[in-house]
Amino acid sequence: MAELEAKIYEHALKNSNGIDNDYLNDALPEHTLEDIVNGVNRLLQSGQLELLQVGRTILYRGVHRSEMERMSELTSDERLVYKHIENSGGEGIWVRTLKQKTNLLQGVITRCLKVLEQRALIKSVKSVKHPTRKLYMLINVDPSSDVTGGPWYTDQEMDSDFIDQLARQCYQFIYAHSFPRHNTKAVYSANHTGYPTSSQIKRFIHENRITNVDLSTANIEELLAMLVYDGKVERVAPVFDMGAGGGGRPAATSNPRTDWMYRALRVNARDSPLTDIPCGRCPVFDRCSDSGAITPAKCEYFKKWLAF
Amino acid sequence: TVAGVLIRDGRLPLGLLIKNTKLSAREVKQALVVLIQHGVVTHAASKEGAGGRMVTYYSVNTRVVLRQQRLGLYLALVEERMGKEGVAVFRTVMENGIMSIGTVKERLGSSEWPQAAQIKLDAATSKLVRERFIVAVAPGDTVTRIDKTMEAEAVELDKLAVLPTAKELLTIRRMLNDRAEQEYSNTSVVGIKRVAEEEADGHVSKVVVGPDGRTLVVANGTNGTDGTNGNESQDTVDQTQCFRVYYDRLDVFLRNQQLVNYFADKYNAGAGAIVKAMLRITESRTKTCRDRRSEVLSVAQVINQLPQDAPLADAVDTGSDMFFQDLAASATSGNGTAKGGGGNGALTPAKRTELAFALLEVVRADASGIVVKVDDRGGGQYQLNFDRAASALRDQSLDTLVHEKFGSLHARIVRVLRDKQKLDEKSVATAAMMPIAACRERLHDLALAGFIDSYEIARTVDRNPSRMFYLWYINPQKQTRAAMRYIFKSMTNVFARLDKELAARAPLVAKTKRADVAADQSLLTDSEKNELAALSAAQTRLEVANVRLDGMLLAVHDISPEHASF
Repeated sequence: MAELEAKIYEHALKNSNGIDNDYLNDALPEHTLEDIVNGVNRLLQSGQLELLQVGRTILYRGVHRSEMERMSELTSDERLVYKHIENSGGEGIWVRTLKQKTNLLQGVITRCLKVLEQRALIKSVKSVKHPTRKLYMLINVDPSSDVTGGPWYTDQEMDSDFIDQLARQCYQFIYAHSFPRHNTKAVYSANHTGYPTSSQIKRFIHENRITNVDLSTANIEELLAMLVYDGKVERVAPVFDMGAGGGGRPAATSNPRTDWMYRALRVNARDSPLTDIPCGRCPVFDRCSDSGAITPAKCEYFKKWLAF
Repeated sequence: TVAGVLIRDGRLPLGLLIKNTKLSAREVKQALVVLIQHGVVTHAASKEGAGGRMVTYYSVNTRVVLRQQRLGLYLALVEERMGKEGVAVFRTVMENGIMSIGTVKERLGSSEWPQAAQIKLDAATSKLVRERFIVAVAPGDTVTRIDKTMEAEAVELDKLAVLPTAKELLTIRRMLNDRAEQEYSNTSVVGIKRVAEEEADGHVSKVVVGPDGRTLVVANGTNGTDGTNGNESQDTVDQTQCFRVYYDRLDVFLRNQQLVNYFADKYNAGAGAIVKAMLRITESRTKTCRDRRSEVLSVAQVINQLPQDAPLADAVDTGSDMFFQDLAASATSGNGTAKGGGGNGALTPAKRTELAFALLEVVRADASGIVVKVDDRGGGQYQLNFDRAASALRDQSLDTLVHEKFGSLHARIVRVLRDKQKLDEKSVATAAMMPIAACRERLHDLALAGFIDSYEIARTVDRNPSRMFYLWYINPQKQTRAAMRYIFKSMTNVFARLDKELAARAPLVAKTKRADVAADQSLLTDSEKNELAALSAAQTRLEVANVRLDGMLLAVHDISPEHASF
């Protein structure tokens, strides 16, 4: 029997995704199904196997000795809480969610979490999306970018300086490729395809070691979208090859739907007529009227502006 | 005083007007006549009381009042397009509200001018009428517009035997609206006749005074340049017809100027020149800013309209792309209408055409979608979308305003919301890449100023505020009203300050008007001269500020097809 259990345990450890009854039946043809099931039950009891359910299928997964030792010190409640935290992976799990899933009392959960933290099995992390929530995850698991906020966040705070500097570098790169070098007053024609794309900008950042932070194409596109919203660049669709009758037009890029190009806009320093006069920036604009203490006739800002 | 009371108190009958102004009946009536003459006040009669007596109500046309700020710009525009004679006629009509051409000529004393000058005056007058800078006045023009609409509706409702249902009322209103649109789109010009006369031997007709002694006949050339294939055409302006200035038409030119600046700033002077040429062609067919689209233009028309000194050289880099060269070659070989014979220095006609094609495509590809390609025939057929033009100019003004007033981060939020429509604050913070607390504060600043609005979606049946989604969005009408509130208040402040500057130096100004001081400026002391210089500088600065504010008002409100008047 011990031999059968050892074989089942070995198979379970080999397949980290879990094994089912059919697999064991095929792997151990010399044993009956009844013996296999009994062996599995004994292993489950001793904690060497754990039960998983994937849809309607029941799977068994081997538990390593080190883990067994850790688990053996824990009570069943603590073990349950630990399992849920382990399953949440890099996303972490909120105390309220834990309570819903385990149906344990608040006090019990709090005690279990305290014990697990003392044993250095779990850690608490703050999410940038929900700053008031405490998320728990295993101690050796790295929080996902949803929780940390990705490369734009440092210590749960958005790193605006880093974003601005990187955006400035991207803008300068785009600007350098947006206008003909020999004549900056000219513009490129409508079918020009030399404007930088997000992948080219990413390569530029990486090759010039502008930052040590690992940035994905999606991160770069977020930054470029910010520049678009600042009115500094505009997104340009690549030219499509319209087939016959196009007359020698350049072919489209390999993935025209997603390879947007970015073109810098000429930002002319023009002021709004409203802020040209003192009223545009007056702190008491809403209290100014034709009578009372604050009137245009008595306005000190107008006096200084006219004397300037 | 009369206009002020009408603006403050709204629509009033004569009796109440006399009471509120505390003037005599004669003075009020005289004032009303002048105001109606200038189109500032309109009148409408309505039946009141059991006896059905007709009471005339007077109301102010605020659009005409606000237009007064732009008179300087209008005069400059007319002088540029029509010359000195044209601006003299225009100014006379403007100063008198409504006037016939015969009376205008009497005022100008043109009968004593040399024949050539008289011919020029008549040509300028014809051009003013043809281009609708001045329009013929009909008796119904002084009646309040909304009363006219209600009267027309009442006439239609009288035809029905019973009270109308909501659907019938809607149908009637739609029909009346279509009728008004048809009347608006009627392109015939009242007050001018163009009669084609064929000359057997083809020589130029003399300029003669007509048999009735009032009508002057001006003949054009016979080389077919006016498109009559050798027939002569005569423009005859009815000397007894009364005309008034048509400000809404002039706003089209001011809008076009702003559009040209938009493209020139965004790309370069070459792009601005192309758009200017396109707008020039469309100007004669564009009645007012209400028109949503221009006529369709061909590339050849645009290239022909381009002036010889248009800054096309170095405006666009076509590289070694054969596309535009092929287009240019096919267009010039097809109709051979490329203008210029190498008169633009280094640019050959073919190169000029190529650059024009390339620039047309550049402005067509602009994200605002103002220039639209409708067809590929003959190198391309283009059209201008004035709806999108108005939106682009308005958004640019508003974004600059938000940027200057609040900061670049607030402007970023406004652009995010304009692009994404309705978003909650977390999504706005993610898209705008700013911390959520700062984003929340900025959203509330903008909402307080009226630039954005919020939309609530309840998650629970009891609409508990803590369990609601709050979505932020841009409400264009509200945004426009917020900007207009700032503009009007600022303009009021500028006027008030101008009055104060003048009042503070009133004795000095009165002194300069004295005959002896006007003749000899050395009678003024140095400090008085400095004061006058300071007054002049302050006046200039304040008036320029007002003109700029008015330009912003034009961009934000007046050029929008929904709000433009006709």
